Amino acid sequence: MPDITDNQELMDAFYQEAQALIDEMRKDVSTLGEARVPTIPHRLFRYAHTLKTSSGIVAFDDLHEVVQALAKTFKAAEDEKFSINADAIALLSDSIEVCQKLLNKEEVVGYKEFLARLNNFPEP
Amino acid sequence: MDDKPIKILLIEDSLFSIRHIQNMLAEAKGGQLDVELKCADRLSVGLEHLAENGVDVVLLDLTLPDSHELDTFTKAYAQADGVPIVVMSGIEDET
Repeated sequence: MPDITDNQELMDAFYQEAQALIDEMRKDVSTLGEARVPTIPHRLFRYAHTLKTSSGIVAFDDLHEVVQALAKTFKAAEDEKFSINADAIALLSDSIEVCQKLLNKEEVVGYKEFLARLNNFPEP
Repeated sequence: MDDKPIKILLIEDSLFSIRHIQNMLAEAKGGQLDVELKCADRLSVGLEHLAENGVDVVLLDLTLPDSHELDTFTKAYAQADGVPIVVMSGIEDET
């Protein structure tokens, strides 16, 4: 079976959509601290879920890992399993910037530690 | 043998996923699979296509802008009138 990453047109579609999804998540996370809009956490989950799927298909493993953790966190936010306070918003914002760096193929210092922190959020 | 193209309705909002599926269908059966692919990026649009009939199989993403999870399948199933539905989902909840 041909390597999907050899398909330039498909990879262009991936990068274009991935960037759009990151941009939308960044925009929505920045509004989370304002008046609670119930649809925003679900929308964030949907964006992260879509990016999780596509990054998995193109074997963009580290991005897939972070977005998978982010999708779980947005789901928890939607289910009101934690309060969306300043610390939560900061973590979510940082997570999106990590996604951006990974998409840009930039180094993320402390990536494993950050991923562990995101996977363990919210702390019991 | 019926040599009409297979009419596939793809209900999916991710452009990347749509392109990926188009590529896979083009490569299937050595490039000899005869399909007509119709796409809908919302469940509501997909349900309109189903109501028009002429669909042989539905490829259904569960997470859509206007519907999500099992509710998506339930509504599509109610409208499909026996048309087979293949669910594509990255949701990890197996319940």
